[in-house]
Amino acid sequence: MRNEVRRLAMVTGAVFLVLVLYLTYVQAVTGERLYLNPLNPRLAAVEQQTERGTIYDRSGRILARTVTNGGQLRREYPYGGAAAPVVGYVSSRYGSTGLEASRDGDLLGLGGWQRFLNEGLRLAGKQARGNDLHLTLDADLQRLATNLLAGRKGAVVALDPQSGAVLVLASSPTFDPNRLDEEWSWINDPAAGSPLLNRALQGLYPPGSVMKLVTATAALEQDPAVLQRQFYCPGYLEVQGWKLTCPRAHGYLDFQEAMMYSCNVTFATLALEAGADKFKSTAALYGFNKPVNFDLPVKESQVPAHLDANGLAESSIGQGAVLATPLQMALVTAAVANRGIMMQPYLVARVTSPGGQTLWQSQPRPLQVVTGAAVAEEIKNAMVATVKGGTATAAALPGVQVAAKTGSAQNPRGLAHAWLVAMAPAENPAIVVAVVVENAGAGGVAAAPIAREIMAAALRR
Amino acid sequence: MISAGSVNRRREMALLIWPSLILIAGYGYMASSGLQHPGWQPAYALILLLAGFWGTHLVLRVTRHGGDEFLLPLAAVLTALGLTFLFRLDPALAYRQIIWTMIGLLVLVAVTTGFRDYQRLEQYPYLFLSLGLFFLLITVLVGTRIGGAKSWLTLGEFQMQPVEAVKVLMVMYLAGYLSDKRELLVQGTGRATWGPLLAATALAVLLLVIQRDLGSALILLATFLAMLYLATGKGRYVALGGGLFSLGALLAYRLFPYLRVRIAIWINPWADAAGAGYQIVQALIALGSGGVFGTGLGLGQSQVIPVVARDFIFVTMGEEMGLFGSIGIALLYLLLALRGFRAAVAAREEQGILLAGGLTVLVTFQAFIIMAGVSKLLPLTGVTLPFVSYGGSSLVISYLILGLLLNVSASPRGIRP
Repeated sequence: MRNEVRRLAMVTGAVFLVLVLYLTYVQAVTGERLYLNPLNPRLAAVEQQTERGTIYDRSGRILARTVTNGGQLRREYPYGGAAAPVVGYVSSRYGSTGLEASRDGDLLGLGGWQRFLNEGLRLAGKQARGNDLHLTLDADLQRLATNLLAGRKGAVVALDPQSGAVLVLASSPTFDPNRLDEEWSWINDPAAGSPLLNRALQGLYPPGSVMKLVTATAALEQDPAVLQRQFYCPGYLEVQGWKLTCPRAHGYLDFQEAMMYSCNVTFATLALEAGADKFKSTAALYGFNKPVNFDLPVKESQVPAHLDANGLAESSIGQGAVLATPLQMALVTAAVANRGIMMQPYLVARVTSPGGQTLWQSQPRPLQVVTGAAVAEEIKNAMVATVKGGTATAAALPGVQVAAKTGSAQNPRGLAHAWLVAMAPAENPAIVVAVVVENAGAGGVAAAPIAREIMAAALRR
Repeated sequence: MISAGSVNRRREMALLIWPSLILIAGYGYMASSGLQHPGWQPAYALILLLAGFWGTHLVLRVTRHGGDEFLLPLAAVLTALGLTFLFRLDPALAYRQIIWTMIGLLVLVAVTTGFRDYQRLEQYPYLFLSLGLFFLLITVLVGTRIGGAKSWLTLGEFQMQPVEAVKVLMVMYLAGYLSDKRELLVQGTGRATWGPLLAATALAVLLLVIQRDLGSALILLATFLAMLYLATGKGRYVALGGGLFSLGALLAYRLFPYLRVRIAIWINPWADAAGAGYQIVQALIALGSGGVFGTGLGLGQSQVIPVVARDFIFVTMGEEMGLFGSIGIALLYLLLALRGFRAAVAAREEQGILLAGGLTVLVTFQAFIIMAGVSKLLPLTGVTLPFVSYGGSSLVISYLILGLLLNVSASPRGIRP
């Protein structure tokens, strides 16, 4: 019996060891994440006694700041609805969204040792001050994009393909975070068109013909001889007794012409030749079916796991069950622009202390090598031709070579969603733009002018 | 042999300095915090508690009790910490808990002086069994439901949880019964040997399920299996018991929706963070907010958790004392367990081994399942943290168990009245 007691004691020791290790995990490893959780009521108390940091754009323009108003702290958003999809809002009544939520720890100075310092200040009855955020966002471009979208539902994403720095992240309709109390009931009215939804990151749309950039990559990787081939488009393609149609019979065309006129038949044929596995793996390299690591929450873009011939043909032209966020399609275009290398997108460039000292700085880093430079170059050339004489002529700029691809995504609710992705200057792209306008018809007509204006403004700087 | 006893007590005296310091520090906090209970002076409470613990030590010393010198200081540290945090959460509850502590210490003194020959207690296993079952039955019949579990008896102003007493009575019954029937059990089967045992346990678990006090059912079962293992040395029996329990749990899972809710909350409390998962989500956030070093006494905000002073007091301690504090509390219970098992190993006869082993498992397993429950290591079952949580029945019974453990640990040292 005494040996049994000893063994029982050992089991008890083991059980308590598990508890100790688990508590270490909860409190030491995940502690800060739990503390910064928006459900933590402690943060509301900290909020009362802390001056939230300022959020600046890339040139030091203020996007959000805290002002003292008769002894009360009040958050002010000089760019109003334009910056709201990025900056979000913070409110004791409605919680917080955007960077105000995801960067709460920085803005309130709650990370690491700083938390102890600031808690000490608060205990002493002094007001602590959080850190400032410096974004990659260009406030002027952001405002321009918001104005161009005004009155319509849609989103604009622009980024620097060589660094991944996000320049524009606009969503429409939007709301004014300065007037949250007054507008709250309207904002949540179904008639308002969900202004709280950030369509650039949370909107999942069929990408339409913009998906052909992915299909083209898969086809060229599989067989570079595709470039020398002639395809014939009678206006439809029969796949397992189902007819995939083109807007018109394109007749004989080569790869570049197929891109210029966005020929569904050719791209579906190419996808069927490359096979479902190649198509899916290429989409996965571009970032589909993977969580996106970003400064704000992003919905995961989807390509179906099981594709029969029909599904593959549909998916290759961005219809069927394929869904993508505007950010995702901007990243696809950026990878083509950056010689096949996709950069990690980022929005926060620096975090500085109230004293101006840099506490954290982001480094541009490659996220994924998607394809070789040669394949990317060929796709870009086809996109240049598309602007010169294809479906995207409305995206052309005087004196600058632009490369673009249009899309008109069929959807169950009315007119097609208009898509356009573009890069400029084509020789050495400094900006990539993705535009989606809901139920606006052809991408070359509704979305191209918006992308053109953004690129023109960006290149003028 | 008598000198060995006094060596023990001298070391006990040195160890009692630590809980005394905690009490004095706690008093300092009370005095400076501005929190006060009308009609009570914190200084009187401090003097009463110090007198209680040192007086108990003195009684043990004067009566030349040879019991383990670590047990009383360990319980005193836990009680002192518990009182400090109770005061921080709710001064009125803390003052009631002081009264309960004094009653607990009186019970301890009574057990260690009056019933030192614990073998006498074990001549009537069926008395304990009937008493335990009677308590359970009366709770089911006329009990009050508080916080989901129908485990309270209300007599006017006075409320108690009979289940606390049932647990001890069960261990006493099993210690007597198992030591008596041990040979038969080791050899094998026979309905006469197994029948009463299985019936008693099944009944207890069933009644607890009806009361929805799953935490207590789990503790009783674990204690029963541990004692069965001690008596027979057969892992098979434990595996069989565990298997039977798993089957029963599976059946209960299908039968009782409230159990399914509990499990769903355990797997992902964040899915309903404002509703059913609220307590556990806020408990995790509190533990995380405490981090490694803690926020400091009184600076946490675990008050947002309902019944924090009872089931969730460990979370307050984890938030305000940090990881060091929460691990410290866990290690105090581990130390208590090791001293309890040491008393069992040293006991002269089988009853002593079974009694000490059973009581040790009872106390420390209860501490484990509530610490693991509030931190989401295990599904949450509402039981008290022994010596720490607010609750009269729990505290008094904990000191009763401590007294019995002291008696068992004293027996090999040859001091018999």
